[in-house]
Amino acid sequence: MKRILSFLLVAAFVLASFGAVAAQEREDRPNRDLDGEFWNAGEEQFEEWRVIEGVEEGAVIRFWPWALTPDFEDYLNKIIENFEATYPGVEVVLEGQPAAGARDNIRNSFAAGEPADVINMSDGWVAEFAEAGVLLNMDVAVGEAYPEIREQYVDGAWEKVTFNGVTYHLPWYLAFSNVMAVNGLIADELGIAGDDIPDTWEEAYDFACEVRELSDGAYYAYSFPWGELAGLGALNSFVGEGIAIYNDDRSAVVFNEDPAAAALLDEYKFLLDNDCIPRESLTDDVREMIDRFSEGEILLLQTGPQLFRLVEENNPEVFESLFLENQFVGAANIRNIGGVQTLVVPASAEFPNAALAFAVFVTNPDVQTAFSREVPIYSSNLESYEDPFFTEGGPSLTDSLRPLAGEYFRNAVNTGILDFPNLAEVEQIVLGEFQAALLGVKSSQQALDDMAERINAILDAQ
Amino acid sequence: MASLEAAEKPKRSSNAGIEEGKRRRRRMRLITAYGFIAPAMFFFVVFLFIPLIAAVYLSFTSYDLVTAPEWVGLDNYQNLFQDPLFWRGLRNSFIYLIVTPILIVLSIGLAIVVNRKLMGIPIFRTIYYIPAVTSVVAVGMIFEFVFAEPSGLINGLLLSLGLIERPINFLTHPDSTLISIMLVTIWRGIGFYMVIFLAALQAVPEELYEAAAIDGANRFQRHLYVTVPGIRPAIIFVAVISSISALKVFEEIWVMTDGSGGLLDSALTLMFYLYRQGFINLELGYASAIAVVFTIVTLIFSIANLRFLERGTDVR
Repeated sequence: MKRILSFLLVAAFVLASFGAVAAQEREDRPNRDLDGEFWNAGEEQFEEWRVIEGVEEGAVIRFWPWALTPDFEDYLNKIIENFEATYPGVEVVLEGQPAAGARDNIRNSFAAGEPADVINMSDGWVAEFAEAGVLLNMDVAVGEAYPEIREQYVDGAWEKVTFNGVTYHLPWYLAFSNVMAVNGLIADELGIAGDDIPDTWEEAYDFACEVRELSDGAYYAYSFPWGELAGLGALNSFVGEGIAIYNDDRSAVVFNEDPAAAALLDEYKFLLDNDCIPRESLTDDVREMIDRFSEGEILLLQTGPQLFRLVEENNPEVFESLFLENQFVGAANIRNIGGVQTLVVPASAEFPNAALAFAVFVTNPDVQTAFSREVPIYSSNLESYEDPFFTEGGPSLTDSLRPLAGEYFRNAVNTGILDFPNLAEVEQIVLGEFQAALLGVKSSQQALDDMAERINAILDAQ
Repeated sequence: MASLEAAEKPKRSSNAGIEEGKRRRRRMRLITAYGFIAPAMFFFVVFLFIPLIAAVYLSFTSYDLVTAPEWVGLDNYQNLFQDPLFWRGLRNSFIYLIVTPILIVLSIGLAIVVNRKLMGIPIFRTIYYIPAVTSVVAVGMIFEFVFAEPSGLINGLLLSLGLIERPINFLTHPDSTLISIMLVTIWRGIGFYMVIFLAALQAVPEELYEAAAIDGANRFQRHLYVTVPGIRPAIIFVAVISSISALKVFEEIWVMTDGSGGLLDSALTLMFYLYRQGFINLELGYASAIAVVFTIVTLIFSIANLRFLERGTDVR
């Protein structure tokens, strides 16, 4: 009797598990639209999605997304199911990579001569492979061959990473970076309303010292993640201020020739020396900056909304008090495209058309809109923003950003300078000279001159 | 004569048979011995010797991991000796050796303290050992809080007691970053080496302490003239392994500086620089050259260290 009962219990558990896997309704995916085109596609939809010609019959391609499995495995498997229905005869094998070590796995796969056919890379990773000449030229493969597809992509995301002016990736999902969260608890305590918060960086510098004084040294207005190596943060700041990075033919960097660059570094140094920003801005990365905001020390947080969940996890009380304002803009009044996740295809792919078809499929407007329903990221395909999911928004903090996203991404430009050879070395040069200026080891102008000289030596060596 | 030869013949053939038998047994023993050590040798060859030889080869090439290595001869070594960051890394690595004598003194002191038969002492031994088995990432997170400005553990306490007017810049000033990280290494290492010295203390005869006490030695003198000589082999062992660990420190630097090497590369050690060149800049040939030079430097230092410490003692 006991044995029969045990068997029935185990069987019930197993069946329930299968049931849970099979069911596509999920409590943690409240926006999933099971009746929509993605989860409920038919032959007509597959015909519409079939846009790439010459896809190899019998192709088997490997797909390497990173940091998306197992959380989004059902979404990824549905992409594959829809793709295989769109291009019958092509098989896709999903090989999810963990967040830690993904970049090394990709490098090792290229070194072994066995890279996957479609690889998801963070924007900061693409340059080293583009420089090595191992990636498919997307300006040719998509830009020239399928200009109507190229037009769908956000320009700033398409241009996010180039090498010698050429794009080697398809942009996938984006971060929405033009958002500033305000700690309502601090704002109430100091009597600061939304209108009191500056719009421009020029006003923000004074505002930093005012908040420090107003709070008797208890709070800071904002902090910086200057410890972050990727993205050449200092040079991005120059672009925001309208300072030209390159000369006309992009053969040399010339940012040191603009007095505004030295003035900007002097401003940062002033903020640091007068304790108007935390000294740990020198060493913080983005995560540490968010942790500092979560601890209730900082009034303003400028980051992508997908990272607000970190504030919610760290300090629900602060999260509940948040309200949103526009980020500060520099003298050039431009909006940054922010972080871009990309898809690349190795130049040595055995089935290049099939691989390209899959990469284009993953980034098509319907598939990307479905992804935005899974998690608050944003589509790199402008046609996604015509979907009611984006035009109508929702009640929560992150939902309220959706209606703003389309117009933002149509106008966002790439201020990230990810087009240097030996990018890692350039990042270290920029970081080192930037620190030398802020720590007073060199004058701002001297640091900029040395920075430009060392970067130009790398450019000349190419 | 004929009978003599006849008598010797069987003796010679039996001698030859015995020798042949001995040779066969010796051969079998050798085959058995090699058979037992073969698996371990396989791992040594595959995971130690081959990578070692490969690293030496790569040090003469330019290699970015993604494309094939390109022979450049001695270029990497020439660039290395003109590279100011290489010399800074080497200098910082040798500065890091300061943790070794500090660790030895503190660990011996702690071992003496916990080498008592008091109730609850095993709990304290366990507590002191916990840092040694704590993940370095967790240690990094803990010390981010300890060193935070202005409201971290140390700055918060000193500011609230009025002992300092401005927070101490542990990790946000180039002059103090390396020292701050060395404190973390000392904190992590004390418990580990305490255990080694604790074991060594068990072997020091109690009678020697009694004799020293009878001769009028105070407590400090008893430790200086009985304990220290008694545990000298352990001191030599700890000195060698902790100095090698200090020379090749990497984890603490990486975690405490978020992979940057500190402001203005102030905490850059040679191992850290090797990692940066190899796995961030993808200059694997150059990184291999650093590795070869570093291995030679460590070898020379270790031999000199050992010879110095073993002077006047017969520990072998």
